Parts: sequence; structure tokens; C-alpha cells
Amino acid sequence: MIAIIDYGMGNLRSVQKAFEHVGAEANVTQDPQDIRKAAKVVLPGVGAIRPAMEKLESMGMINPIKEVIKTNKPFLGICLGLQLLFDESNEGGRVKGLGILPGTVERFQSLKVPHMGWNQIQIKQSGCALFAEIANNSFVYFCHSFFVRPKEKNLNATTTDYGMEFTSAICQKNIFGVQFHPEKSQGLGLKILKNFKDKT
Amino acid sequence: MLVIPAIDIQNGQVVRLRQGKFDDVTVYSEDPVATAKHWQDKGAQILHVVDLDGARKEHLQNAETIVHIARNLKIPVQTGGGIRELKDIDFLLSGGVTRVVLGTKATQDRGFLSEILTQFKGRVMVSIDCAKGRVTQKGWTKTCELNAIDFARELESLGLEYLIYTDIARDGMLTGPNIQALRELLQEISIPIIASGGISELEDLAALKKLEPEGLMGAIVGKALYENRFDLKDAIDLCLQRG
Repeated sequence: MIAIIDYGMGNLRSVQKAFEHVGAEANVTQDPQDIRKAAKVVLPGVGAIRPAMEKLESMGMINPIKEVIKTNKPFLGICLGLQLLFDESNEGGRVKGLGILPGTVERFQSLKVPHMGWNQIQIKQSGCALFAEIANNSFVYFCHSFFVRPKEKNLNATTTDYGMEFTSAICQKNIFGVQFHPEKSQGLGLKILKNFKDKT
Repeated sequence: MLVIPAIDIQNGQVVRLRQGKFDDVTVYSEDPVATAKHWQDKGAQILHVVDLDGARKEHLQNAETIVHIARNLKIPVQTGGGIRELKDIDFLLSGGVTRVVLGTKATQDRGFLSEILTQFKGRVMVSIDCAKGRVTQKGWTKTCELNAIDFARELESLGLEYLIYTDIARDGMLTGPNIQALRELLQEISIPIIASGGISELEDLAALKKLEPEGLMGAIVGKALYENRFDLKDAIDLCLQRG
């Protein structure tokens, strides 16, 4: 069972539907116990980090997320869910994230935001399970104004060019994160979710 | 939405045709690599290179030139025109081209297409040319519209990841894209689509951008760029804006 954390940040039905489409049993839940029991966990979300952190805290979801990651369960952050994994964001002053990965979340400077639409991913880690059998320069769908800047460059699973090269996916042992929306990236996105289901 | 400049190559030169007629040619440059770099410097994220000699002779002709372009650019290059054989696809993809575009071959030989899609997953596009077999016919007919959709459905079921929709009646005519036909196609299939043909002004891109939420991934722009109808930078800016 894949647990999709529902913390009021965006419509999660599309993520659930996409997982169901690739044959995964996926459950949208607000219950920390479901997160602890799940085989794999997905943290989706769109929007700002501050309300997201407040919501996760009030739901008692922060410790379960950290436990999941510590116990080596496959964890996938999507969009805001990726950004939340990092130390802090400069979104409207400094906002603390979950602090699971070292690095910051920053806003695109001097470029149109949100970065919205199809763009390409350059694959940086050949061994990342999430991108198994995915061609370099494949197109995925983005919608975001902030991006993550990991302290360790080798965290990058893929990068994307949007006036500058930014981290579009990360991969570290059981922790996976994508800045784009696999659930909106058609066949290729489904392939990535299927890889999460089958190969992690 | 991605704005994708087209580079059409005939006899080693950058040219544009009208409605795909090989004798109705305007030469824009003698140096395809310089043209490609120019579009890259203007902010293009992908280039669409067409081997017109290949398309006419039904066999890839400008492979070396295309690989030369791909190797001299930082941005990905997709290419089509006369690609009919596995060895050509292999040559292009291993030579630095990011994606190959199949046209006629995809309509003729589904077995081949299926094999190619398996072998080069994610690096193959198919261009549906709505006026296929009716090149002299202007405008749109219901019959061909239906065929396009049926064919697109079939391609989707074969596992194709990206589709190019070319309206030959409009290509090089600066008459505006066929929004209605594109919308119908987008409603029928879920593969992202790149539109090609007819774009003459920024308003055409604005109209196409409205289809982005339905799955329109980008637009190939040719003549309008070469005739300075608008600046590529302005087009990219427009297409990056929130829809």
C-alpha cells in the first residue's frame, strides 16, 4: 500500500488516480498511523512552504514522515513535497522545512514565475530507480515558482534548464523527490510512478 | 508551452517551402549550424530540424549535417524527414540527436514503428500530417480529420510518447494554426502534442497556448521567424506566461 499524505495542499486525487493507473494500491490519508503502516509514502502538494509546515505540524505528521525516511521506506516528494524535505526556504522570509536533506528552497529570480508547462529533464544519476528506462531529455510537466538547491550536487537525479540549471529531481537511497508533476506528465509521468511502485 | 524553431534543410541550405512544395523555395541561410546557434542564443530550448531532401527522396539525405548541428548545440535537437530505416535512426540518435520524428514510415509500417518505439523509447516522435495523400488539397476535410484521430489513437496504444501534428495546408502559409482540429485531437488522446504549421504572429501562439492545459506541449515555428514576423524571445516570453 502506498500512502499519499493529505495535508490540504492541493488536489491529491490526480496523484492517486495516476498510481491506480499503474496498478498500485494508493490510499489518500490524513492519519499518521496510515503513514507508519504504509509500504511506501508519497508527499505531494502545491503552494507555499509555511502553511504546509504548519499543517503538517498540526496534524502530527512531521515525526511519522521522519520515521518513514529513517526506516528506509521508499518516500517520494512531489513539487512542494520535494521542497519540504530541505532545511529552509526563502519564501516570504526564512521558513524552516523538514530538514531531512541539506539545502535551501529558492525563488526563480528575473524569470517568469510560475515556471509552467512542459520542459525537459537531463538525467544526472544513471542508477536512480525512479528514472529507470527513461530517456534523457524527456519532457515532463512543471508548475512551480520555487526550486530546491541541494547542498550536495550528487543528490541531483535530474536537472532542468529554465534560464538556469535547476534541480528537477533528487534521489538518495530511499528518498526520491521530483519538482515536476508526474501525475500530469502523461505516459512518461506514469512510467516514473510505476518505477516508484516497482523498482524502489 | 515550448516554442520550437524549425530548420528545414535542402541542399545543405536553410530554406522554407510553401505547403511543402519542393519547388516553392525561399533560401534563408547557407549555414544551418549558424542558424541553429542563432536560435539557441535567442533562448530556444529545442530545435526541430527537417531533412527536406530526405522527405522528397524518401531516404535520409542530410544525416551528417543534422548530426553536425546536434553536436554543436547545447540544446536538444529533434529531426525528421525521410527517416525510414533502423540504421538511420541509430545513426542519428547515437550521433547526438535527441529525438527522431517519423512520418510516412509510421503510417506504412506499424510493425517497424512498434519495434522502434520499444528499442528507442521516449526518443521517437511521430508527425501526423493531416493532409497526407492530399497535399494539393487546400484546407481541411472531414475525412482526413477522422483519419488523423484514428491514427493518433493507434499511435497512443502503441506506446508513443509525443506527437507532432502538422497541417500541411497551412505549413509555410502564415495563415494561422488549425485550432479546432488540434482541440479535437487533444480531446481524443492523452499524449502531449506539438503543433506545427501556419503560425504567423504572436496571437497564433497565444491561441495555441490556450490549449496547453489540454495537452499541447509546444509549437514549431518556421517561416514567421525567418520573415521576422516576431522575435523568438518575445514568443518564448509569451508562451512562458501563466495561461
